[in-house]
Amino acid sequence: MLVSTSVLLLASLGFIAYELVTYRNTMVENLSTQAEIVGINTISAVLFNDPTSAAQTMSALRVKPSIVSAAIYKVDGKLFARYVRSDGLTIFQMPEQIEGNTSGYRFQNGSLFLSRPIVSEGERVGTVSIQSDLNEMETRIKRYVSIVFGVLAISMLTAYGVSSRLQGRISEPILHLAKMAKAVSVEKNYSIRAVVDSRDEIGQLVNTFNEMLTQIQVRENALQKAHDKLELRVKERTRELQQEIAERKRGEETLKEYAEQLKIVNKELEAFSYSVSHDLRAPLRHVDGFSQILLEDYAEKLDEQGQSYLRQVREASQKMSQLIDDLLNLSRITRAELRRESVDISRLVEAVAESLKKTEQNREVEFVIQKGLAAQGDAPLLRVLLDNLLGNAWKYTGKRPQARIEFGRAEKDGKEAYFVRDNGAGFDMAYAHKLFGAFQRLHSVAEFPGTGIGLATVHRIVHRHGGQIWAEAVPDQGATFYFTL
Amino acid sequence: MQNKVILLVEDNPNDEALTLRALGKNNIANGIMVVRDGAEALDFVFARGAHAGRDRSLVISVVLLDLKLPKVDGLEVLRILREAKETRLLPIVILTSSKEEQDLIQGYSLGANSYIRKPVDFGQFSEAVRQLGLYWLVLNERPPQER
Repeated sequence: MLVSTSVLLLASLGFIAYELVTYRNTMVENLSTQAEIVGINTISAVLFNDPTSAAQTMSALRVKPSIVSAAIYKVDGKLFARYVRSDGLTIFQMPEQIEGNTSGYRFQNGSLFLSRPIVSEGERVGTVSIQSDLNEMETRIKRYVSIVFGVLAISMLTAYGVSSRLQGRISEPILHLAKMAKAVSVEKNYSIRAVVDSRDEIGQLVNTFNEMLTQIQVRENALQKAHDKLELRVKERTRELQQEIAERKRGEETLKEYAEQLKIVNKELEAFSYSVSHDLRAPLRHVDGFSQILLEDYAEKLDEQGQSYLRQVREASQKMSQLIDDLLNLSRITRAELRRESVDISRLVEAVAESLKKTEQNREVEFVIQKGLAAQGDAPLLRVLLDNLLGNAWKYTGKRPQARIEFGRAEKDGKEAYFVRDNGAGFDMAYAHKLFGAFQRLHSVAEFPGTGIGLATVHRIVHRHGGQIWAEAVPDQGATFYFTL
Repeated sequence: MQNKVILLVEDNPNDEALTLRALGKNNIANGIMVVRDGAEALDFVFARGAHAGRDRSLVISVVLLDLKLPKVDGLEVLRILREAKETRLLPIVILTSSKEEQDLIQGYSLGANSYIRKPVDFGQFSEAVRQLGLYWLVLNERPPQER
């Protein structure tokens, strides 16, 4: 309604303005015509110098009440005849003298002053001046304006009426739609539906809107479901993870328990070893001791056989003592803590070789030791390892006049391994798998002494360093022991 | 001449017999006093308890101390003897079958003069005793008596 009103207003104002402008011109034209008519009618009066006649002619102007006054001037500009409106109020205001060639018009003080020349046979003989008030114009304009406003009013009423109806038909459903949309977005309630009121485009719009809402609702449901499913999965996963963590904790605790138990077992083993070293040896000592005493004191009462038996008793107890020592050593090595450091293994080998040479000063054994080799390992344990390996090499080359023992590092089977090689008795490779078992021997005690614990000890030491040990040999030619750390 | 005596602290009768024999064989010119447990050893040394009436003029030339003893343990005897002023310098030789490192460390820490391991072989044992006797009774200078 605002639109229509403003449009009408503008249009009306336009019309009024137009009228204003054109009416002025019209007025001027009309007055001009009248002036000319007066002029023509008063030619003779002017020419014959008859002011009265002129005044009479001019009095016809009373027909038009808007004409306030009129005047005729002679060619020299002198006032010749006058007219003034006869309402008792008007005063003659025209000048007494004007310019001889005055022509034209002007709007002044609420009146229109117009002058036209009086022409006779192409010659100017005088001037006519008329003064008109603008009442007519004003009235006309007033009338025009009232009409315009009347029309305006009617139009506005009509517009109002129409728009009210339209509102009902168009705006209201749309507003309703807008309100629904807002409600949906604010409350997130996708079950709202707009009311369909009519079959036309508005109704279509509402239907489409409702369809859209349905779609949204469907999607919303699907989303919610997916969300719920996801939450469920997250919960499950969390639970799974928690279980895993709990299991892991349990695992850790079990490990801790095992570590504790291991510590206890180790302690028990230590106590056991202590006990063994002390308590087992004592009776052995007694067996040996008293056998010896028997031999010494009662030699004459015993025959050869008896003495031989006693000697065997002594030997047996000695052997047992040795076994006990070996076993204790082996167990100590298993229990001992490994401390890795850089060890000059070449020098260690040289030291062992020296001490071996001292045990049998008469033997001539050639030692070939690779110099400057360093290894990462526990020094005391490595010493024991070398004692055993080199001791074995020394022992099993006992029957060889040109004994030769080598030590070095070489690449074997793609690994860097240390080796101890001798040219002694060697062994049958068929029994190689028995080499490192505790108390396993591949030769009899008569050939070569020993309890068979040496290699088992070596094997254990190598394994504690995380390495491997293996051997190659040819009977009666020699053996080579390889090990990694 | 002083009455010198070797104190043998040994609980096992077999070991006692063998030791005595080894000592005897080597002509150790000392009397040998044998006690069977740690408490008795202390009693004898301090002339108290069971041995309250012992001859106080007796001089103990050396104590041969076994470690595993009933009543009072060998190392405990050692500790007590080393704490007492009159036996602080008394020569004490630990004579035991144990080769355990902890015993060695303890023995020496508590102030034993020597640590001998009894070998199983009687021949070796005999030899060890002989050397012991020779060393402690003949070669070694005894600390002066603190009275």
